[in-house]
Amino acid sequence: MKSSSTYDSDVLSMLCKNRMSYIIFSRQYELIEFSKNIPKLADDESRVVCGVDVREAFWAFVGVEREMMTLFDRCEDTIKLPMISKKNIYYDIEIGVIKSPKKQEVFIAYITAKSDLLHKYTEVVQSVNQKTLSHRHEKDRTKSNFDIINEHLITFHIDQQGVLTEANRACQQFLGISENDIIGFHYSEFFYTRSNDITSDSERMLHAKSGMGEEVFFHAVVIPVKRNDIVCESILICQDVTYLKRVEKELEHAADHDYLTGLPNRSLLCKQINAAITEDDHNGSIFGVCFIDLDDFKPVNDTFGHHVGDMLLRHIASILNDFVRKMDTVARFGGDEFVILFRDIKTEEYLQTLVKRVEQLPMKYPFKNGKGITIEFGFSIGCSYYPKHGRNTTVLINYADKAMYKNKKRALEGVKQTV
Amino acid sequence: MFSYKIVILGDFGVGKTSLIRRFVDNTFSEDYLSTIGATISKKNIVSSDGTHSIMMIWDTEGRTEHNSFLKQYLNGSKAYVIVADSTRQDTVASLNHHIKMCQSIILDAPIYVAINKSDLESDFMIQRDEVKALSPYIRHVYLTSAKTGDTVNTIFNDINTAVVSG
Repeated sequence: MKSSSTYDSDVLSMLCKNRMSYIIFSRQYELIEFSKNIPKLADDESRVVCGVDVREAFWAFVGVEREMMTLFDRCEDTIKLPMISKKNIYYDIEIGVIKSPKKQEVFIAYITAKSDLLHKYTEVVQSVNQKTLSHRHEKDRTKSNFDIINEHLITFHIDQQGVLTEANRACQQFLGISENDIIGFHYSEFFYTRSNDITSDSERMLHAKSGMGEEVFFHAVVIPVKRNDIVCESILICQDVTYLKRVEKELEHAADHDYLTGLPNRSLLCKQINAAITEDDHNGSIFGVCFIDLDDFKPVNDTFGHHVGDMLLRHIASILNDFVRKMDTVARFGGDEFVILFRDIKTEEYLQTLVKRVEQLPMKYPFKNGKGITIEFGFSIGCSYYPKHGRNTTVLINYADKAMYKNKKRALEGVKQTV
Repeated sequence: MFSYKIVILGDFGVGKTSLIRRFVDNTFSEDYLSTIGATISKKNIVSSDGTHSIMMIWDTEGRTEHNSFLKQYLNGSKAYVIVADSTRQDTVASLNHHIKMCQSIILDAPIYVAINKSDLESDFMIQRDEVKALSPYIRHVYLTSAKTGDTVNTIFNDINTAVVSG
């Protein structure tokens, strides 16, 4: 056992000169004596008063009472509490036991304020910590961005033979199978393309069926991975372009169809007639072109407005479309003119029968506007037969058109003839 | 009046100081200034049964490779609050390290785990049961937000109730 030293006021004042402050307090933690600068270091300056519990002034003593009591048993020389900070001051506390002039053992706590140099050092440490944390946040953010991309962008690796060597999470989720069921198979088991030599291109269109059975189109970027200057594998990053395919189809449809009625337009009609000429030449059958002009359409627009005129055109498109066979084509030729291409007509008489039925459609299906008013309408019709009236599209249409005008004129004069 | 010490520890940048500032002063700052050494805060608490007590909260420097003082701060604590950041998986992974350190000083001291920054979106799930299973001395695992104040008072009041009654 070591004996405690008796405190000497000269020694204590020397401690103060060396930036070391002290507090002396009893076993009951009553403050006995302290150096001049102690109040500045205390957590609660107002409690630095002799007789007051030292723990009210210095909060660091709370909780270490049991350990402090061991000092009297000389188990330890001192208890150290390093780098306690209060505002911008850092200090070390070292608690020991000392004998008072009355030969009583009391506690003495040496409090050493850290030098300004240390203060600067802590500022550097704080700055480093701050940068480390912001760097870590940035790293986490980047990592999480890559994770998000990885979840949505299908990526897979193939070797030079096109065998899958790696597939990311998005790829597995899309195909609805695990990586084990993908790796080792040729990519064409899952992704279809026109050419199987996928590695020679920098980009490629692919399509594939998802695990849910949905057909999806991809634009794939092919990135060659080189080792020792030799391409050893390729990474394919696939972007879903199904919507672009849909847009493409919509544009194709819009180019060949009338926006108001949805019927094929003149351009598509001509293509269909051209196709019919080619096919019917081959199999020896005939077809008819039926030119329909809406009678007295202008007064409808003038009386009820263009909106009602448009509704009437849609109505006509609908009844004509319902009337024809699947093989036939109803087209809006322009304005209030429609053309029906009747395919595979066995006889001219049969076409005459069909035309008569078309003529009766306005009576069978009258048009009522939104206000319930019946708007009467009628057709003037002219027809041409292939090959009797012409061997090309323009001639056939012109013939039917002229026949229609003749009929319109005769109808006004009271006589009607279809062809 | 009954005074006691508790220690807050955890990786750096998890929001230990912010939790204390929210509880002691009801303030919050987005600015980050890392704690060096230890800072002691005092909070007078009145329990629901009217008992007055003083909690001395030791805010410690976040775990770094060079923090050699931490063990010296852990002595005499009535409870430990170990804090992790809900948005940083590494801070949750190092909870076990902090638990072991606390238990090396006081084996049976109650441990309260605060998964802080619950106001932020996280890209990983924290299973509170899995965290609690790390030690039989973990009393509770809280999801806290020093920014919004969510569950901050609860965690300290729970500690106070347990310390005062125990």
